[in-house]
Amino acid sequence: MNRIDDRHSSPDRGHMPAFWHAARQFVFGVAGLAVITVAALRLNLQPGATSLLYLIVVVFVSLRGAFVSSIGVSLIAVVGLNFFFIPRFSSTGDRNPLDIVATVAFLTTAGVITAMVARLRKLTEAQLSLRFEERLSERTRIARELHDTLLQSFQGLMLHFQTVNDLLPPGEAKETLEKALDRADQAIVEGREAIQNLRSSTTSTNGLSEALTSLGEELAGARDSRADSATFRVSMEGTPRELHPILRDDICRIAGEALRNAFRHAHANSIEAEITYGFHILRLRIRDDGKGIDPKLLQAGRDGHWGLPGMRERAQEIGARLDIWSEAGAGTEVELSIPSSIAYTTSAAKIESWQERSGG
Amino acid sequence: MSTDRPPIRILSVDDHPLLREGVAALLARHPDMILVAEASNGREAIEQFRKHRPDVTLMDLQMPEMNGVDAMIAICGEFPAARIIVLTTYTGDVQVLRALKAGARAYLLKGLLRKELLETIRLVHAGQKRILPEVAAELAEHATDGTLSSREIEVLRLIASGNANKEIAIQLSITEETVKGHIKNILAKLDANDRTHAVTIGLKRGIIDL
Repeated sequence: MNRIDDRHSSPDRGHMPAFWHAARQFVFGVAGLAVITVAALRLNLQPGATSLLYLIVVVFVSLRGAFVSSIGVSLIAVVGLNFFFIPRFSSTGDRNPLDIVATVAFLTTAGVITAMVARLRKLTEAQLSLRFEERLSERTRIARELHDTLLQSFQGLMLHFQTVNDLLPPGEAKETLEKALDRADQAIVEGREAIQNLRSSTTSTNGLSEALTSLGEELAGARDSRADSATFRVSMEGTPRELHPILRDDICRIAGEALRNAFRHAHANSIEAEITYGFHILRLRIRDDGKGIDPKLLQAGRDGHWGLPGMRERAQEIGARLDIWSEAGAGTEVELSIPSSIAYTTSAAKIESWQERSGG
Repeated sequence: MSTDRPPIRILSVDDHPLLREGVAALLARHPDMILVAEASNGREAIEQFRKHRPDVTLMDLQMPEMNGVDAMIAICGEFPAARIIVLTTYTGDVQVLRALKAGARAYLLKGLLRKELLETIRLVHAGQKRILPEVAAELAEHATDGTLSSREIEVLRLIASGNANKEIAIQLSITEETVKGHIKNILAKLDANDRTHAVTIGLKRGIIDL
């Protein structure tokens, strides 16, 4: 279990404030420029080729989500090109007016790329958040509709059937109908409970660690009778943030599947869930020290087995990344990471405004 | 059942036509009862009650315009002898208490109507009260629990609509600290582990509605 312990004790990058994130990306960017500069000098590259390589660094920095840093890096790149590279290649030492055009072109390209990346990111987030809202309102509407119409109508119909039952003379027909009605009563009760669950899954936000704790305790309780129950612990890092109820629900379902695997199949002594409310990502890790999953199975993800394909699908749907590490005898670690932009922005404020609009 | 006694005159109040039809069909089979009027909300119920003065009223709780509890309060205020049976899908103890305080003589679950309705109508008409064992058990289970204050109920309702503490504080014009205090009390009184659990309990016990 060394590998996992190492990961655990490694300093966590999750809580970095925005400024440090930008600064870090800036330093990376400048370092990238320096490396390219050295390489360009060694290889005697033309300024044009060098500027393309510089652009790649700019794109990389903006992809990391640090837009201010990306602009800073491009400015430095321009300075480097103008005062370092171009003079080296101009034989006369005079400044060519085209240099200015090249500089403007470089800055424009860098700016456009940065803006495009930022916009694409926003669009993806907006789409995901819209999908969460749609699913939430759909779920609420279905629950309400089922409760207000279908369930009530069934109860009315039951009275009609009871009237028929009263009309029947005592005998086999009456008894059979009576039994059928009893079953129908049960079905209605089950239906009502299912509707109530559907509705309460949309009601409150947050509570991820509480939800996991109660889920884990439930699973541990179910195993108690066999006396080899694993110990279960939930830990949390960072300040808890509000999550969209649909997102929380999906996270809980993925975590639930992972926990069920750990409790049922892994023969683990200890099972841990770790939630990190990080700056970049919301991360959930579920670890056990059990027998591990067969690597072949892990790769192939045999249909229906251990619910792995379902977990992957669900993760993809909410824009999350699911990683599973496992070795025979070395336990299993499931890691779900959700970019903070998806995890945190689609939260309570939006839900509230949605609910006001729909009169909920 | 002696035939010389006049039939029990019944008013049926429910916003679902199919349920009213079911009740009508069931009552039509029994000569000691007669359905004299129907209503689909609390306001209509009050009107129909004034007009027909039924012996027994069957009252749904959740209806548009005016709910069953408000209608019962109005009817019992005007006619203290009114005999009202509540018909509902909900078992929550808080909801039951609210209905009983509003003047209900019996509390029936819609899921048990077909077996219990006729018997209950006869008992209530004879002047008795009737609470089914299932409902009584629910009442007993929470009899000694602390009741939520109206402010705490308001906070719970806002939690149920997905609001964060900060938003609840803004909406109620109180500080976030006060909200946290309320939530702490709510969790303790409902014996809940967390906010989600509190909402689930709140819904189940009828403290808040869906």
